[in-house]
Parts: sequence; structure tokens; C-alpha cells
Amino acid sequence: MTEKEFVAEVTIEYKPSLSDPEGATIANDLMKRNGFEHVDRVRTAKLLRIHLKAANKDKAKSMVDKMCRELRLANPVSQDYSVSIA
Amino acid sequence: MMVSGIEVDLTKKELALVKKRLSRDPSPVEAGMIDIMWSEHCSYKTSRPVLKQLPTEGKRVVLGPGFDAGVVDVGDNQCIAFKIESHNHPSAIEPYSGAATGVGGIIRDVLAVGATPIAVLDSLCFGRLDSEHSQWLMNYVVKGIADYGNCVGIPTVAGDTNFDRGFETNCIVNAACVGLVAKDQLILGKARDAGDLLVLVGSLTGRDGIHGVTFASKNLSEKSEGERPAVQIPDPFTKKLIVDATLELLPSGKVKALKDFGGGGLTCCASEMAFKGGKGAKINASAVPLREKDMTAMEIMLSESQERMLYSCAPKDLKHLTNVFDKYGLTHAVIGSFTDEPQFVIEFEGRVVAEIPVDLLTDVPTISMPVKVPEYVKTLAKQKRPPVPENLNHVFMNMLRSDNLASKRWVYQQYDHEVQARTVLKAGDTDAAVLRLTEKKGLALKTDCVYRLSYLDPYSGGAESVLECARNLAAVGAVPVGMVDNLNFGNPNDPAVFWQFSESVRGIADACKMLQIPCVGGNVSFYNEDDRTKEAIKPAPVILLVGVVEDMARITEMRFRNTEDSIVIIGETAPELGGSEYAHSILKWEGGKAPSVDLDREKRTLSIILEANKLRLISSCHDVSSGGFGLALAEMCIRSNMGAEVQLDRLPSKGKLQADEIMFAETPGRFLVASREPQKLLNLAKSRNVKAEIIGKPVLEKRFVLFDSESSRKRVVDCAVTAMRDEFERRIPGCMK
Amino acid sequence: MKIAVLRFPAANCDLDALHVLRDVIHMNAELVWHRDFKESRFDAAVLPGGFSYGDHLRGGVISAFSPALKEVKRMAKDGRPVLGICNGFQTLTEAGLLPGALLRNQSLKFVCKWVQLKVTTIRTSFTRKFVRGDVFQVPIAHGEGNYFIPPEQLKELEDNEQIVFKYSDFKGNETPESNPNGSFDNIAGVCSPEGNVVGLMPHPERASERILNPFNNEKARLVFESMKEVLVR
Repeated sequence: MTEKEFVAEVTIEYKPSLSDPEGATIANDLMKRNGFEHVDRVRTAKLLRIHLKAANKDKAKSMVDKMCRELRLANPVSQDYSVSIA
Repeated sequence: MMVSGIEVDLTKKELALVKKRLSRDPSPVEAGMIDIMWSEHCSYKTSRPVLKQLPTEGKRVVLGPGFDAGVVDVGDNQCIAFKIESHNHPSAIEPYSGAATGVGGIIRDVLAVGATPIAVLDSLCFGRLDSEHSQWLMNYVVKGIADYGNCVGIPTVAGDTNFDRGFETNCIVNAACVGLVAKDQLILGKARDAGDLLVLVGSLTGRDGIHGVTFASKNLSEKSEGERPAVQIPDPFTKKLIVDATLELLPSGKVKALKDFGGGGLTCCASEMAFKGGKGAKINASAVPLREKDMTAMEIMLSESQERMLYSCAPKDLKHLTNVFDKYGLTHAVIGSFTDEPQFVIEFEGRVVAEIPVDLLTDVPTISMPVKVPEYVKTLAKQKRPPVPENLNHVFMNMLRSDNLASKRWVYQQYDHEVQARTVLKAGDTDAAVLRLTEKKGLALKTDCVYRLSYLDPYSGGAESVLECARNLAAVGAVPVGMVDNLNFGNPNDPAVFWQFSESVRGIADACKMLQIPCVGGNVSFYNEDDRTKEAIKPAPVILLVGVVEDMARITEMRFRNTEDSIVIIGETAPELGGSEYAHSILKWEGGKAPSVDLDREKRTLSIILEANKLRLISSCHDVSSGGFGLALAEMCIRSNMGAEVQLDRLPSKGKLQADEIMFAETPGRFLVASREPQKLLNLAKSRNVKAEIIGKPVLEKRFVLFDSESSRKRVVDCAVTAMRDEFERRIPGCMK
Repeated sequence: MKIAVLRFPAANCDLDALHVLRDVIHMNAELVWHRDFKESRFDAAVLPGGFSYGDHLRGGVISAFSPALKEVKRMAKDGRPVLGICNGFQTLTEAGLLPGALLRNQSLKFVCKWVQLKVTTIRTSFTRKFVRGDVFQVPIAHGEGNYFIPPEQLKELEDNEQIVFKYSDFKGNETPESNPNGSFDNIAGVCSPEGNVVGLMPHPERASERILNPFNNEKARLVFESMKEVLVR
């Protein structure tokens, strides 16, 4: 079976109930203070762009999901992750 | 047990006491607050009766136990505030934030008495170094401490890192902070006048760590990892702003009381402040600035969100305080006030949700715990030692690369130990850290934890933890002036564990009494064990000793200076391998008779070193501890990049010793001193009734040679110093790659 | 003669810099809150180290947008001495006053240790009291000190003599072993084309007193003594 190429984007961020000091500083000390008062808040995240081969999109997604969980790409204690495949 | 719909951890007896006092059932908010305040972690209900043994008074003591930090007077209107705390359980689950927030919490305690934080120390225990799990924990714990301390700009100047199988899933992460405060600038966490406002400053309050304190009082289990995170995200940036704002405000005298938020959140902070001042408090939970929507009153009162402090001021001074908070961009809110009536009243959304006597939260009845000597103590002590290994040269190199003896540079190089421009003696290369206080006077700091010995003989282990630190201080020329302790033990409901705890404290108390060192504070961490194996950790009593160097020009270090010196050993060696690193790493033997401690002889030995320092008889000095005499001498050679030639038969000994016993026994109370005037040193030792002998000399040739005797000149150990240094330095970086 | 030591939120080496200027070099120095800084009152400025704004987003980037940097730019244009140490150096690069960028250490770890530093030009306001090729000891303490300059710009730096300090061994050889963070070409510090603005990652203020220096000298003092000479002239 031929394998296709996919690019998965994994976004890792702190769980919503946890504080994000870096996001808060960027919003308050950089954006709001320098003329961008309409900014409400900022949450930081880490983006992994994973280039991979799989038979189809579903298989690609499930492989990435598995990596996220088994390899602790996101720390389950404090972080959530989301996966999108192009 | 359920009370008013809330899950609480109280015993039937405790609940009955509460109901009797209130003459009714507690409301849900009251139940939640009582649950937290009556937990072991907040109330110390089982440990307080044992801790009473510790000496807490002395002419230098300004603030003893029971306050945010202990404070001792070091002269020149300068006082040293210091405290130590544990964050073992959060670090075992999430090592980075667990360790970082541990550092954050302890800095706040020192700041809360008005002191400028000037140093952080860390005492760490992990499982075996070759275990992936331990490597993961160590990697992130050290990073957490480094990132936090470095960002806040407080140097992490000393500490200790230990490895033992027993700490594999329950690591020990104890963080200490030391601060400097002028005697007249001290501030207390004590309500002063009714009507004084309570101002909450710092980070927004979220649902962090609710029941984090109860979490610390429970054992870890598989469920823990998936549980609602009882860990918080570290924020050293906000912390630094709080430090700067507080230090800017304090000289104005307008801050009447100050306390940081720790375990038990706003409940613990406000009730303790009120109680200490003989007052009550009225809190408006709705006024607390929140990070999350729809938080309940109980969540607000119990949240353990980091980086918050509680200030108290007269209403007329509020603007002065808030101006400074605004300058630093810190969130602040008036959340209540002190009252004459000693009640703790919580209002939420216009209704009173809690109204109880303050002392019901703070005056928790103690519990007397049963003790029992565990079986293993007698069994292990009776074990006969394994035979002496063949190739002692080979053994010696293996000792240098053993987990606990190898260089910890991998750890301390990640800590900024130079910031604040005070660090004169950088620990890692020396026995203790020394920070300058005035042009002449220095502050010496050391932590230590003698867990192997504590397992075999907790009394001796506790005493030895104090003595080890005292020796390290003496080796740099410092006199101890105060101590705080962090006692890490297993489940106190196990009589064997409580026996270990009681004996350990008895040992610490006796050592402190003999050396006249007051205990000005401490922390107890129980429930350190693995839920699966039910095995408690080895008793880990961590001691932080603070000392004064009167004249920094007389600081001594372990590096050899010249070849005209003679090497003198002070103290005699006994054939006791029990509890030694050698027995553990090389003989793979956990038994044997542990070295006993002779407190009076220890006191005399310390006095010899300090007197010798005054008389300028010391060129180099190093205390003999883990790894015994052999490793102590090796370290001196490695640090100075010089060799040494020593005769083993010259070491004063108790009876006939095997070669490995001479080299590696960890008999307490010994020092290696290089001196230009060895005879004077010997006379001094003799006058104090302590055995001492000239055993050899440092040499330029970079070879480390131990002869068995003058007559036979058989080389028991003969190594190149460069090879020794390589083994010593490579072990930990090699494992952590 | 007055020197400003700028204080940014949560930076932490400001008091160390102030101490050296006042108590060791005996100059008139003042700690100035960044929002209160006005260049007309001062003859020189020091941007000290630390983790201003927690190093959030990137080290020095939020400080670079402080109104204080507009004032610093005026000072720089005017030829007055400006020194950026560690985080201060990062801020000056983010503000465009110095070339290049500071990236994460190659080891990915924070490193605190003493290094040997070679002086490669003495035309700047902070190195005139050295001899070209001088090597002195100074501590570093950073996680993002890896100096990066696009290779095509390196030639310009060299031609203009804008490389001021390099990591070396005690003999002055620029070896890989002596490079603590992977910096391009062992570069530890650079200056503006005019030479009055200098930035360096190591901390000379921590090495200017014998008692703090394990090598038992005060050679790092010359960084500040050079500035003093420029101002007094």
C-alpha cells in the first residue's frame, strides 16, 4: 500500500485552569502597555509540526495521538494537546 | 468521613471535639477550613510533642520556631532569617514545577519577616542514579530550582544531592532560604490592631492545589498522577516584583504585619496572623481577585495559588502601600480586617458562610503516637562484615565514581551562585558556602542529610546530621549560630516509623544541646513512602546550619597550598563500616554496626579546629565524612591538583583495622588538616584529649599514594590524580547525557 | 559625573552593578526605575543583568520596548557610554543598538562558572584601559548567551572592529573548550560602530573585587575604570 505524506500540527498548552505567567506578562507588560489595550489575554503554547508518512489521514492522526500520550509530548498533569492534520 | 457534605480527614474523636466547641455542626466552608488546618501538614499534631525536645533558646535567638522564619543575631545590627521546607510529593509527580514552587514558597517565608533573601540551598534525594526514573526526576528538579532561583536573582549557594534505592518513587526535595535583615527592620506575621486592613497582593487566585496539603499528607499512588493537579506553575517574575515591592515598602514602617500564603491558603495565613496577635479576622472572600470563574467560598479560602502575600496596614496608610504595588504592576485588593473579637468570619456574596473561634483553627490538639523498635535494627547490627576485596586500588577508583561521592558539578553549575555579589566561598569546591556580610564578617551555610546511618540507628543519624554540618562549618573557620531542620519520614501511623522519627529528633536535640546551637524552625514531612511497596523511605533528617566567620581573612579551604605542610588527621578511626557509602556501594552491604556518636568528643574536636584556625595553624582543612578518610584525602588532592603520600598505619585507630576499614570507615568527628606547624596542632589536640597524628604530606607529583606502613612501603593505593579527577567528574554528566 | 543603573521589572543584578560603581570604582551612580529615566540627567548608563520581565517571550525583548530605551538611544547617538551586561546585552540587541542576537546555550542548560575572556579591541569606552589581547577571568551565569550573527554580517563586525570580548583559554587561544555556550566565533561581547555602546554576556561586576574572585585578582574592574576615564576626560 502506498503511504502518503502528512503534516500534523500538535499544539501543547497549559490546562485552562492553570496560570500562564508568560502569557500574562506578554499581554500585560508588552501588548497592553504599548498601545494594544484591546487585548484581553494571551495563552502561550508550543507547536510541533510533525512530518510523517501514513496510509491515510485517520491513521496519521491516530499515530500522532499515540505519540502525544505515550511519549508524553504533553505533560498529562499540567498540559492539554490538540492535533490537526493537513 | 463526610461532614456537612464535605469530605474531611478528621478522626471521630477530632470531629467530636469540633462539634462540642461549636455546639453545632460546622458549615461546609467551616468543615473545609477545619479539615485543612487540622491536617498533619498544617497542625503538626503528631510531631509537636516530639519536637518539644529541640532546644530553641540562646542569646542570639531573635525569633524562634512558630514564625514564618527563624532569626538569629549575628552582630553589627545584622540578623539572619532562615527556613527550610519540603515539596517532596509535588516534585515526585511533576518535578519541574514541584521543585520550583518549593523554592518560591520558602523565599516568601523569609521575605515575610522583612528579610532580603540572599541565598537558597537545596537538599535532594533520588533513587539510584542508573535508573531512568531518577534521572528524569533529577533533571527536572534541578532545572526547576535553577530556573526559579536564577530568575529571582537569589544565588543557590550550597546543598546536597543523594542517591538511594529507597527514594526512587518518593524523592526528597527540601528547599531552604536565608535572608538578611537589620534588627530594627524585623516584621512579624502578627495582627496588631483591630481595624487594620488585610491587603492581598500578588497572583490571581485559582483552583490550584486545593487539598494540596492533604495531598502531602497522603501517600502517593497510581491515582495521584491523574488526579486534579495539586501542583502549580512557577512564576518567579511575579515573585521578584513582590520581593522588590516589599523591600521598598518596609522601611516606611507602614506595613504593620506581613505573612505569605503557604499550605492551607488564605485560611491558614489569615487565621494564624489573627491568632498570634490575639485578634479575630473578618474576610470578604468575594473581594479576592480570581483567575477562574464561579469559584466557591471554600475554594477561595483553601486555594494554594502561588505568589501571594498578605499585608496588614492602618486604613490611613492604604494608599501608600497600593502606590508601590501599582508601580510594580502587582494586583492587590483589600479583603478584610482584624477584629477585637477572636472570631474568624468569612463573608461571601453578602452572606456569612463561616463564623468560628480563631483558635479552633490554630489550636489543634496533639496526638500521642505509639512507637516500636523495628525488627531489622537488631538483625542488621548483628551481621558480620563481608571479606575485604582483593584490589583496593580498583575499589578506590570505584568509590570516586559512586553515585553519592562523585562530583555534583552537573547540579550546581546550573545554579547562579554568584548573583548579589556576596559569594566568597563557592560551595561545590569547598566544605561550606561563605557569603560576605561586612568587610570582615562572613556567613557560612551548609545542609546535610545522613540517611544511611539514620536507617541503622536513627538517634546517631540525627545527631550526625547536625555534627556533619558543624564540622563543615568549622572546616571553613565558622562557628554555628543556628539551625533549622526538615524531617522527612514515612507514615507516622506505623510505630516503627514513629520510633525512627522520635529517635532522630532526640539525636538532633542532644547534638544541638551539646554544641549550644538553637533550633529556630523546621518542617516535618511525613508519608514519604511508596503506596505499592508500602516501604518507608530511609529516615532523612535534613539539617541547615548557619554559622559566622568572624574574619574572612582566616577562611580555610580544602585545597593544599604547598609541600612544606604536613597532613595531620584529628580523631581516631574505628572499625565500623555500618551505614557507610563503602558498605553500600562496594560491599553491597546494608547492615553492620553503625558508628556511635560521642557528643562530648565531637565538641572538643570542633574546638580544636576553631582554635587552630585562630592560631593560624591551618593551611588546608577538610572534614572526613562520606567515603571516609580515603575519599576526604582524595578530594583535597583533586581540588588542588596535587598529590599526597600518606602512611595508613599512622592513623590513630581503635583496635586493629583492616585496610579497607582505615580507608573507608565513616567514624564521626575527624578532620584532615595540612599545617606548617603540625606539632603545635598535635599538642592542641592532646590538650583536648583527642587523638591526632601526622600521617603524610602533600606532594607536587600528581600521584595519590597510600602506603600501608613506613617499614613495608607497600602501596595499598597508587593512582594518578588526573585519573581520579576524571572518574570523580565524569560520573554524573555521563549518566545524565 | 553621574551614571544611571537602569532598573527594569524583576531584573536582579542592578544592585550588584550599583555597588561596584559606587563602592569600588567610587563614582556617582544612581539606581533609576526604567519609567523614570531621563537621559539628560546622566553621563552614562548601565543596563544590568537579570531576568527582566521573567525573560518571557525572549530575554530582553519586553524591556526593549520600555520608554527608557528611547532615552538610551539618545545617549548612544550622543556618544555617551552605555554598557549592557547579560540581560542588558540582550535588551540592547532587541532594541537594535547592538548587532546580533542571543540564543539558547548549545547545552540547553543554564551555566554558572568562571571563564577566561580575551579583549579583542581597546577602542571602546569600556576597554580602553586594557591592553589588546589581555585575558582576564569573569563569571558567566546565563541560559541564553549563545551569540548569533548572520555569517554575512560577521565580516562587517570584524572590519569595523566591533567584536570586543571573546571566550578563550588562559593563554588567549579561542578554543571550542573555552566556549561555554556555543557562541558564534567565541564572541562574548560586541560594540556599536562608534564604540561607546558595549554589550557582553559575562558579569564584570561580580569579578571586580578580590574577595569574590577565586583567581584572586580584580582585572575585570578595568571595564568600569575605562568608562571612568572616558567620563573624566
